Amino acid sequence: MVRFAKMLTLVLAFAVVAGCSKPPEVEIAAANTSIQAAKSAEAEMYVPKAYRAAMDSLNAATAAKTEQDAKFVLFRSYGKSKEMFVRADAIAKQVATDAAAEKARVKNEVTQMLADTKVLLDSVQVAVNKAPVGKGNKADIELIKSDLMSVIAAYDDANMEFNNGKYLTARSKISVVKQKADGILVEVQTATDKVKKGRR
Amino acid sequence: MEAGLQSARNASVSLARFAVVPTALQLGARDFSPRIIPLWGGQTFLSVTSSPHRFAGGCPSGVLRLASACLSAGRRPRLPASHFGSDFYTTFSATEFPHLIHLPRPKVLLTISLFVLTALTTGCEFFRGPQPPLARLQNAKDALERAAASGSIKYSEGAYRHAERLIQTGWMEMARQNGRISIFRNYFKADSLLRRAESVAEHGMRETQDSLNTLDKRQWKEIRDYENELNTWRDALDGSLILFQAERIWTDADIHLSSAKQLAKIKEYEESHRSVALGRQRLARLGEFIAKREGDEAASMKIWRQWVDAVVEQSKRDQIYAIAVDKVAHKTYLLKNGRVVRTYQSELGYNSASNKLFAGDGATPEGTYKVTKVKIGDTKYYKALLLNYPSEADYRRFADNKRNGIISKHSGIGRLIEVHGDGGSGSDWTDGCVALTNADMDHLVKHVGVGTPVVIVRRYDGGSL
Repeated sequence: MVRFAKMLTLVLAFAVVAGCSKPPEVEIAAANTSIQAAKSAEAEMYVPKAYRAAMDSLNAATAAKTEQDAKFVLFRSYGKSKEMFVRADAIAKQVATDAAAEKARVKNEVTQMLADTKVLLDSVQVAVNKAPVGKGNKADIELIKSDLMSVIAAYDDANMEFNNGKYLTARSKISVVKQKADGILVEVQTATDKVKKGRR
Repeated sequence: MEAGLQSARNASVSLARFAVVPTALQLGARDFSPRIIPLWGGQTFLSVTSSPHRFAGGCPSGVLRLASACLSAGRRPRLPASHFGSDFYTTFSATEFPHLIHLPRPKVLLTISLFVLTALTTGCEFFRGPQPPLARLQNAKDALERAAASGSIKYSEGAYRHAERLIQTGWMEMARQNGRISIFRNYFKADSLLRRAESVAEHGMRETQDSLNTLDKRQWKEIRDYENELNTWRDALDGSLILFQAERIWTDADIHLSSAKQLAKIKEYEESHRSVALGRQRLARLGEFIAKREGDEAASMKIWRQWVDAVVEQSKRDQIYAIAVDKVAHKTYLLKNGRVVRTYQSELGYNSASNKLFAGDGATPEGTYKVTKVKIGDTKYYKALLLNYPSEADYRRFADNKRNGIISKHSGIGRLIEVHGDGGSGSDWTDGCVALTNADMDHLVKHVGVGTPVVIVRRYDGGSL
C-alpha cells in the first residue's frame, strides 16, 4: 500500500510538472513587439531580405508553439518554442537596428549629395558671375543665368522631397540637378572661351 | 454437481466464500460457472452461467430467486439481479463486498496500464503516419520570396499579403497537426493552404511583372511624348527671339524631363509620371506666356504696320533707299522706291523679344530711325550704320517707363545702336544692334547713307513689303 501511494505521488507529481508547462507569453509578446518595431522602421523597404528572415523566424516559433498547443496537456513542452521566440525577438531587434542604419545611410548619402550639389551650384553661381561678358556671349550668359535659376529651383524641389522623407526620390532628383549643374559649368566655360577668343 | 463445485473453487478464492454456491446448491442448481469481472469505478460484474433446466425450478424465475438468495446471503445488492437467457448476472460494488471480492491488485493494474501505454507509444513511433508538407511550405516561402524580389509588395500588394497570410495559416495548421498523435494527423488542409499560398504568390509575381511591363511601356511612352512636346517648343523658341522668361520655363520643363527619365530607370514610375505632369504644367505655362505675348503683339501690330507703311511710302515718294528690320523674322530688307530689292539675314540683341527699355538690357529698339553716320574702318564690327537712337519717341517712352516704375530710376536709355557687320553666327548676340554678314554690309553700305530711313519692328505681317 505504501509503495502504491509512493508511485501514485510520483505519477501525480509528473502530471503536475508536465501539465503546468505554459506557453511563453512574455517571449511571444516581446518577439511581436520587436517585429512591429522593425516594421515601423520601414525594414521591409530598407532591409527586405532580413525583414523576411525575421518574419520567418517568428512564424517558425509560432508554429512550434502551435504544435505544442495541439498536444495532450500532459505532454506539452514549450521549451523549444520559447527558445525560438527569444531568437526571433533577437533577429527582429537586429533587423530594426539594421533598417534604421540603412535608412540613416541613405539619408546621409542624400544629405551628402545635397551638400555637394549645393557647393557645386554655388561654384556655378560664382563662375557665372565672374564670367567675362562680351558682345559674343551676353546672350549665352543670360541664358545660363536663367538655366541656373531653374536648376536651383529643381534643387529646392529635391530638398523638399528629402525633408518629406522621400530619400530615394530625392536621390534621383538631386542626381539630375547635379548633372544639369555640371552642364551649366561647361556652358560657362564655353561662353568664357568665346569672349576670350573674340578679344584675341 | 461435483464439477460445478470444483469450478466454483477454481474461480476465485473469494468466490469460494461467496454465498452463491451453497445457496445455489440449496436451490437445486446442478451446474454453474461463476465468473467475476472487475469493472471501472470499483464495480464488479458477477456472472453465473447456468441453464434453467439445471436448476430445481427449471426456469429463469429460479435463477432470480437464486440471485436474490445469494446476494441476501452476503449483503444488500447494489443493483437488482437480472438475467438474460440462461445467464444470471449482476453488478456489485467492490467496496460493498470487500470480504467477498478481491479485485486484482492496483500494482498489477498500473503495470498493465504502463505496459499498454508503452506499447501504444512505441507502436505510434513505429507507425509512420502522414508526413508534414515541409516541401510545400518551402516552395510557398520561395514563391513569396520571388514575389517580393519582383516588386509584388509595391505593385501587387494585395496578392502578396494574401499569400503571406496563407503561408502563416498553412504553417500553423501543419504545426497543429504535428502536435497530434501520428495516427490522427491529417495534413490535407495545411497542404491545400500552402499550395494556394504558392499559387497566389506566383499570381502576384505575374501580376507584378505585367504591371511593371505595362507601367514601363506606358511611362516611357509618356516620357517620349513629353520629350517630343518639349522639342517642339524648343524649335519654336529657337526660331523666335530669345525670351528669357520663356527659356526659364522651358528649362524647368526640361529638368522635369530628366528627372522623369531618371525615376523611370529605377522603376519609380509614379514619381516619374508626377515629374512629367509637373513638366507639362510648365509647358502649359509657357504656352500661356507665349499666348499672352502674342496677344500683346497683336495689339501692337497696327502701330508697327503704320511705321513700316510710312517708311515704304517715304521711300516710294522720295525715290530713296530705306531699311526695314523684322525682328521676329530676323530679316533686314533693303527697299528702293518702296519695293524690297534685297533681304539680309540678321542677328539682333540677345534679348530682343521686347522693345528696348534701358541701356544694357540686350534688346534691339523698335521704332523709326535714320542713319546718322556710316562707319567704315572706325568700327570694330567691320562696317556700321549708326542710327539716331534714342529718338524723341524713345525718350518719351523711357521717361514714362521710369515714371511708372517699369524700369529703375537709375537706368540709362542707352545709345550707339547700329546696323553693323560681323554677323553670321546664327544667334542673337549683340547688345541691341542689328548684325549682318560682312558681305551683306558691303552690299548695304553701297546703297544707303546718312539720312536713310530705318524702321525696326518686332513683327510684320508683310502687307507693304
